[in-house]
Amino acid sequence: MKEFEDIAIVAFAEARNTKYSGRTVYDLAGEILSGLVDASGIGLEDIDGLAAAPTMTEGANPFFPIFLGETLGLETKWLQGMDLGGASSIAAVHRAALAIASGACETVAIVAADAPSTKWTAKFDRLDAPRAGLLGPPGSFSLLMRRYDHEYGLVPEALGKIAVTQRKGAVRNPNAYEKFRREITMEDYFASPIISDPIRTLDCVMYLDGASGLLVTSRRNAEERGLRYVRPAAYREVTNHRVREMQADILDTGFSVAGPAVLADAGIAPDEVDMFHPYDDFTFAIMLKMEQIGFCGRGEGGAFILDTDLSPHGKLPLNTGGGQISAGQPGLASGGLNLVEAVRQLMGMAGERQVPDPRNALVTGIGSIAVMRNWNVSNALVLEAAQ
Amino acid sequence: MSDMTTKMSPPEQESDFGLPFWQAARDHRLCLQGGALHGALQHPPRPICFETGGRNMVWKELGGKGTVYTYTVNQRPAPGFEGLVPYITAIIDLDEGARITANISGDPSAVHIGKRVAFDGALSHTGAPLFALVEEARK
Repeated sequence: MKEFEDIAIVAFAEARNTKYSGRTVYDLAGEILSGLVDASGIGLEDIDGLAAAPTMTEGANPFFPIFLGETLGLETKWLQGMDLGGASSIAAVHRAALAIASGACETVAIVAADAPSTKWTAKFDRLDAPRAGLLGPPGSFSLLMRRYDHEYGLVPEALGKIAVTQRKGAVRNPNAYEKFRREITMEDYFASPIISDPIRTLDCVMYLDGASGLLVTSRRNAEERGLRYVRPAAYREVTNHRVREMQADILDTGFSVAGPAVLADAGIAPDEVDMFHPYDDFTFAIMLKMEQIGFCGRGEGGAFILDTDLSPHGKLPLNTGGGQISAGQPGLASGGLNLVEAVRQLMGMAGERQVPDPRNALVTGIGSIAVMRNWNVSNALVLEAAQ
Repeated sequence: MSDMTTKMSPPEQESDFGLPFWQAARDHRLCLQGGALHGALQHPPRPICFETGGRNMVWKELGGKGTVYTYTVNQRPAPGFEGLVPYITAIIDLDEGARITANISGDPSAVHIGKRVAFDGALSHTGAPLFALVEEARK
């Protein structure tokens, strides 16, 4: 894609996921920005763009992105408050690339920090929410899963395999939530309580305090500075897929459009994807994405998962650091956890969970839950290791 | 499911463009928004007509009959639903061609996708239309 021709991701940073940290978003963001400066050698004076992810903690503050830039000492030519929920971080890579390619700025810090277990001010009540006792996102996902089971037959063992596989990643990820750093078995999965039938506790994510970020700049700048980098190759985004159809297939998500398109843009087939780092709020979301991006056909996700080695040495390494379900979801920190893990892997810095010499990664985001459909934002980013 | 019809509380999230739905519900009627041009229903209510992009819309009273499109049996209560578990929340395909999310009264073990349901004027404790399972006619 044109906007990615001269773009390089030169650094990543991540804080540990913790519960009740007592920390402010600003302090977490400071840890991230400092990590980006340290990893890249690019100083605050040379960072002229900032993309700030939305937060639960500062959700009631409309000036948060500006205050964040001020607090972090950034004088910017381009400032973007991101607003795509869990799809924000990968969208920020695209927005930053557009800004850099246009000449608006040269180097953008993408910062996603949130501390919802410490403080929560965000409100997202909807005028059109049905008054029918649906238990938040797990309730909405249970409706999707029930319909899937009716149409195709749900394979709970496949969802259990996702939970068990990702947990192995969290054990090997020092930034994962400490309580999740022990392996689980398929028996543990089936013993976990049903919240909203058929969804189980171990299908779901938990909000924690945490943060992540990337530094994006021009390739020219990266090469002049002798920095190693990861290249964004293609990006697609769909928001409110089929919103005007009153009786659309509830299981048909924006990934049925964005998924095949992003792979076509990147010039790779599904079986040429070296790693999959999908935004994971629920195990079922991962399976549905696999089908609609095109790793397998509709209704074949269960069999595909059971037949595919999803470990770092397997055919399709999946969320190698545990994903959000096993490492913890740093609030509205916007899918940054999945994105940063992909960049870490492509830079060869994933330690004992390193995928052998990955050439590319597919990263996805999901933004907010839609009323009577599935989710609002579906986006996908292909990253490539630099030669 | 425990009795959902007892604890009436005033609706809290009535919006200007959605108000007729809730006004009708208070009269124990099911009314949905439709475009004035071709009458295509849209639900939940919106501040714009999805057919034309205009603001000319009508409200239509429906027969209240439909089919379960998907459902869940809640094992943990949402806020305001304490003491009611297990209860059914469903998306219902209404016969006139729209969907609604609603509670269904009756035995959670009797609900399934494709089951016929009907609204007969009963409201849940939230003031929203409450549907009931319809006994299947003998084949």
